[in-house]
Amino acid sequence: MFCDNPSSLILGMAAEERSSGGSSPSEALEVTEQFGSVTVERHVPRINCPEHIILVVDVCREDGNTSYKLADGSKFSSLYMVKRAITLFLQNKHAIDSRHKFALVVLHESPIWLHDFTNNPREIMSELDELEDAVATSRCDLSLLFDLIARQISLPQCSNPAVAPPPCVFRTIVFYGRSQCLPQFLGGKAVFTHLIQSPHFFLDVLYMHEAPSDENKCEGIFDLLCGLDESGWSYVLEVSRNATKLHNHCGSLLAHPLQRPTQKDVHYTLNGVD
Amino acid sequence: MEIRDSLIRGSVMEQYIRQIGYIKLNGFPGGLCSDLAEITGASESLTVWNTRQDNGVMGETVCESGPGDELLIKVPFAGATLTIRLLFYLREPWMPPDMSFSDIQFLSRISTEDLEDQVPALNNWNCSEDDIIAQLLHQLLQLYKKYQLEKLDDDEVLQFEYRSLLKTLKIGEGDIEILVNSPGHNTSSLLVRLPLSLQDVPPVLIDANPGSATSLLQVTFQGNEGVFVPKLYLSPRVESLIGGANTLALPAVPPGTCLLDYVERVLELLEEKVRKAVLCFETRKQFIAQVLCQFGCAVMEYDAERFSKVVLMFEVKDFHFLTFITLGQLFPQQQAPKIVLQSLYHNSPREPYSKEYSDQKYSPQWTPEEMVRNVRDVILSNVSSFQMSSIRTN
Repeated sequence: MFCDNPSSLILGMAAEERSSGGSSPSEALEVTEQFGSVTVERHVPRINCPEHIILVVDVCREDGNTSYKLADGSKFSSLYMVKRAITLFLQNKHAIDSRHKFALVVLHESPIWLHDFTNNPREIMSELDELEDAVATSRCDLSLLFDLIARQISLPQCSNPAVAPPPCVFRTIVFYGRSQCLPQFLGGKAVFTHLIQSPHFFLDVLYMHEAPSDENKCEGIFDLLCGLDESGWSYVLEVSRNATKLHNHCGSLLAHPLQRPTQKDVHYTLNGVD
Repeated sequence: MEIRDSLIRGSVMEQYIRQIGYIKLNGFPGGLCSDLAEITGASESLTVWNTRQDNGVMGETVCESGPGDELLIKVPFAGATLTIRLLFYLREPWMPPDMSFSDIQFLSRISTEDLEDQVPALNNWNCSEDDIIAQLLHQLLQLYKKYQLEKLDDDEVLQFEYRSLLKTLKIGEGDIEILVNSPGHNTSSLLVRLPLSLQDVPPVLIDANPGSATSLLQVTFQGNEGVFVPKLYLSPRVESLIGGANTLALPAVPPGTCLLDYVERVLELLEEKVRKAVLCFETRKQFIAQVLCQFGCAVMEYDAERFSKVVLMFEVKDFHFLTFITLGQLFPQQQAPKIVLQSLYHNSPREPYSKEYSDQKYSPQWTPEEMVRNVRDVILSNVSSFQMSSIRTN
C-alpha cells in the first residue's frame, strides 16, 4: 500500500468536489503529492482533460550510428525503431481517450511543423511512414523549435488555474537521437521560458543514443536535456539501442501529465503480496 | 394614401412576425408542457370557426383569411392536446384576435366576465408589445385550467383524488393538470409533476443535460370503475441519470388501485433509482480511489469526473503492459470491473494487441479494497498467457 488515505488522493479534482459541497475551497487546493519522498506542488487540478501532444522527431543520422539488434538477429535503424514505438504510443494513447490530439514536428536543419493537431492517429502514422533520416546537421537550435511551437499553439487562459480545470493541456515530447551534437538555445530562452511557466504546458524528452563513451557526448547531452525540466514535472528518459526499453519508455510517456506521478516516483512492478 | 397604407401594413406585419418569434423563442408559461407546444400558421385560406356571437349564441362563421393571419397552437394538456386557433386582424391591428378552441364546450361555458377578468390581454390588446400573444396564450391556458377544475365539481371521486394528491405530495396547483371528460371521449386524464428532486445528485452526473429536471406522470381514467392507465415522461436531465422513461417498468394497476397510493409508489420508485445512481457513482469513486491508493505510482490516466475508467502500466518479470479497468453502469451490483490487458509492443495487426479477462470470483459485497486486490490477482494470474499470445499474434 502506498498511502493510508485513499480519498485524499482524489482531492484536487476541484470541479467535482467543490460543487458537491463536500469540501471547502482549501481542500480543493490541497495538491501536494502524497506518495514518494519528494514533495512537488501541483498547480492544476488532476483532471484528465484532452491533451494536445506535439511529437518532435529528430531524423538526423550521424556517422557511425548503430542499429537496434533484436533477439532474433534482425537489425533496424534508429529511425525505424522510433517510428514503430511512436505508432504504438499513438494507438495506445488514442485507446485511452480518443479526445487526445497529436501534431508532428520534424527536427533536422530547422524544425518543420509537418502535421497539425488531429485526433486521428492514422494521419500522423502515415506522415511518420514517409519520414526518412538525413545526414546530421552540426547544430540543433532549440530556440527555433520552441519559437515554432509557440507560434502554433495558444495556451489556455484560466483565471484561477489552481482550481479551474483547463479545457486542454499541451505536451511536447522530443525524441532526440544524436550523440555528437549538443542541443542549444542559440536564439535565447525567452520563448521557452514563457511556455514552460504555463501550468498547462509540459515537456517530455526521450533521448535515444549510442552507448556512452569517450568518443561521444551522450552524458553531456543527457545532462543538458535533464536541465530542461525546470518544473520537476517532466519525464526525461534515455535509452541506448534497447528496443524493449524504448517501447517501455513510450509506455511511461502515455501517462497524463496532470495525473501521473513525478518521474522519481513511478513504480510499475506488480507484486503478488503486499 | 395607398403607400401609407402599405407602409403601415408592412410595419404591422413586422410586429406580428416579431410577436410570433417571441413565442417560438421564449414559449409561454401556463402549462406543464407548454414548452412543447407546436405553433404553425394554418395553411387553409378558408376556415370554419366555432365562434361565440355577441348574443351568446354559438354559431359557425366561415371566413376567408390570408395565410399568415392565422396561428394554430397545439398545446399538450393533461395527456391530450388543446388546439387554439387565433385569427388576427392585421388591417385593424388594435383589434384582439378571434379565438377558437378544439374543446368546443370551453367557450360556451365561460362567461364574458370570466374572459374580461382572466384574460385581460383581450381588452388591453397592445399590438406593439412583443410578448402580447404569449401573454394571451398564458392567460387562456390558465383560464382553461380553471374551467377544468370547475368541472371537477361534477366528479366527486376525481376531485377527492386531486385534492389528496395536492396535499400528500405537497405540490401546488401549478403541478397538476386535469382534463375532466375530454371532448369526444368519456375519459378523464391528469398530468402531475412529481416532486422528484435532484438536489443531492453530484452535478457531474447530470450537467451534460441542462434544462429542467422534470418527471411527469400522466394518468388516463377509463370508464367509471376507477381503472387508469399510467404513463411516465422524464426530461433528458433526469433520463441521463436513471435511464429512459420507457425502460422503467411502472408497477401494474390491478382494479381497485388507489390513485394516490400508486402515484406515491411511482415517486418512490424514481427516488430509489436516483439514490441507486448516486450510490453507483460513489462506489465507482471509492474503487478508483483504492486503485490510486494501491497503484498510484503506475497510473496513466483515470476518469476524474465520472470515475468510470482507470488505465495503468504494470511490469511483471520485465514484461511491461497496459491495464484498462472500466466500471460500467451496472457496477457494482450486477457487473464486475472490466479488465483489459493491452500490449506496448505488438499490433494485431492494426491496433495494439489486447485481451479482456473476466473476474470469476467477483462479489458486489466486497469492499472497494477487496475488489481492487482481486483485480490485481486476475491480472497476475493472466499475465504470462497474455504475454505468450501477444507475441504469437505478431
